[in-house]
Amino acid sequence: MESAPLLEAASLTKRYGRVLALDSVTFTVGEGITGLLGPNGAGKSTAIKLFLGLLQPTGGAAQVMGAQPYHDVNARSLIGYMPEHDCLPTSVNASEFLTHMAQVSGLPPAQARTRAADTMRHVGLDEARYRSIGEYSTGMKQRVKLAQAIVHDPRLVLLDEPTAGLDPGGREEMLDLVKRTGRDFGISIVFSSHLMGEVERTCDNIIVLDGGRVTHQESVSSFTRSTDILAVDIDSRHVELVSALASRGIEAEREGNSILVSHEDGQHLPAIQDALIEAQAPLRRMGFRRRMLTEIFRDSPDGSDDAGN
Amino acid sequence: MASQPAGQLFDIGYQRYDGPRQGRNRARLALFVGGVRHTLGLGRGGRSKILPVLMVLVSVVPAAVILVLAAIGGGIIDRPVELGDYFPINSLLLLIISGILGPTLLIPDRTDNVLSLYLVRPLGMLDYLAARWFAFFLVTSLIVLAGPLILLCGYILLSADAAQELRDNWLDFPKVLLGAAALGAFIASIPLGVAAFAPRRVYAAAFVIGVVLVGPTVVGILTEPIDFDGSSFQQTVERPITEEEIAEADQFIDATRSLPGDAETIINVEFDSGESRQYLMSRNDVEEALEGGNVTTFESDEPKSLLDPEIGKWVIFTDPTGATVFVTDLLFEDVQSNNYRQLVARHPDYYPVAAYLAWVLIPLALMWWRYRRYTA
Repeated sequence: MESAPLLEAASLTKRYGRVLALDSVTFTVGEGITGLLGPNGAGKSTAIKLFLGLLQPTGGAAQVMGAQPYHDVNARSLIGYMPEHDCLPTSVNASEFLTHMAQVSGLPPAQARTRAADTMRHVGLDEARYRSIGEYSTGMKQRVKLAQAIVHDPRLVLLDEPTAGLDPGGREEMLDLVKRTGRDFGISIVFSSHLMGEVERTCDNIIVLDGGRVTHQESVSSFTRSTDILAVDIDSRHVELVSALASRGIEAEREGNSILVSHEDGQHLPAIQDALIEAQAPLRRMGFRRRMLTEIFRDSPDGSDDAGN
Repeated sequence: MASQPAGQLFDIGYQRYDGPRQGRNRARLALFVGGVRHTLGLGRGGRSKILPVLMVLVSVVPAAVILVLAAIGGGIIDRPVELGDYFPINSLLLLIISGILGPTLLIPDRTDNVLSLYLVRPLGMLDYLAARWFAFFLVTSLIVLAGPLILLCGYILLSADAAQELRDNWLDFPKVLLGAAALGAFIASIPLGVAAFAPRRVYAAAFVIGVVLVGPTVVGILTEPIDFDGSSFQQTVERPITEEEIAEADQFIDATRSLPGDAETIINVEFDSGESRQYLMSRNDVEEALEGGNVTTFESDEPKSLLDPEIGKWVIFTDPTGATVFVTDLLFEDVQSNNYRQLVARHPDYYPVAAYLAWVLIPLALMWWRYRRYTA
């Protein structure tokens, strides 16, 4: 129906005074779950706010389904937004609040009520619907935040650090919910995070921002595809295996318990087998290395942001 | 769904919405209706309903009391309080309550950041502010309207010939409506204008209450005629007493000689300015004056205000609580004269209207100015 991509940044630039938050970035976002990854201050929130029309671009354009939301407020009818910070009223209940937000998004009252009830069921807020939001736990508030972003059934929802401030359990639940929203509900998602593990497990595509520039843009599966490195995990006798391989003309490198062998077309497999027998190394597993998203930041000091994931 | 077997519970899963999307106009309406509900405390806890109920009571109770008194009086006085005099009775208190109630429409949206959710919806900041103001204006106007409307209906029903009374006074209905809208806009704008700047509701309420209490007091002290006893505010005049006055005084002395104590009479004095004034003089004063060889000193006890009325007529516009009185006075002719009204009467009619508009529009302009640069 729409030929324009869901989101399109064309030489998008945003400057706050002397700080250049986004430096002429160009990328598109299509269907599915897209991770907007980058260390704090990389320009993720700025990019999201530009697409929502909350900020005016200093240069270039931020387009949502072909329209510019800063100038055309009706372009926001089909997007949802879940901010990183607290954004919920305290004195109303979730049912009342979501019905109101659905109407503010353009839905007539009767449909808004139905959608609010449905959405609460989908995010798992059914039991708490008539309690004041002020009494909710952090995890429940986070669900209300997501619910208000999808209550009007947008085509695309922008989630700014949806797991911020959650404990590990709540974080997993939130990621599950995000995945379900993207896969089962069919709502495309752009989801910003500075935690690579989350993005890797949740997203189909990834856009990496660093210092106001796009450093990578590709699908997560293509990024984490198998490499040509064969990892041979053994429990002991590492040195013996490396020398046994070397005697067969195979270069090997030790990394922890793994012996890494550059491997093309399976040509070395019989030789590796022989070497294992010769070195009497107890084999645990053998398989192709997958690239980790962590490697994206390997060169930059900000790579250490991947705390605990 | 129709193909599913009946009488069975099943998870229908997520369903896409393909109903109408009404965009900006629906968003505006939703904010407006939400604002009205919020002001009245609907959909919120019982405590949120205290202020609106209190406000309705403040508007209605004086009217009820007046009507009860009028009914008991059995029509001795036709209208104990004229409609035009009803508005000033409770406007101060209504403004105070609205000063506590109004900020709840703007401040929590900012402090709880709900504003950042609104602004990504199909609406702009101006839509938001306008919806909030109109919502609050509707509520305050209807509440303000309740009192004088009840009073007017009561007066008509209490009169001997209700149908005739209605025919003679039907114009009072649009007047009451206009007056209520004027006062409603006024008590809606100031609290919202203040709320745009106040970081917390208490500060906004305190500021409005402060303005309501301090403003009229200061303006009152400056412009209200004060009767300082024996102070320098009295002016004196010396001139011969006229023949008529002597005759009048003699008559007075003869008539009161038999009475105990110090009887008093009214003496007319014409000043050089051409102004004539009546003085209350005791018998002793008159006797003394006659003995003094036909020359006497009249002390003017005309009270004077701190500010000259020519300045006072401008200062009076800075009193926020007076602002609407000026406008309702233009609607209703039958009002009691007081200092405010005398000072305002020194201006052409459109001056008080302009002052009123300034009191309504300046808070709105400030509110817009404050929110214009807000970024979520």
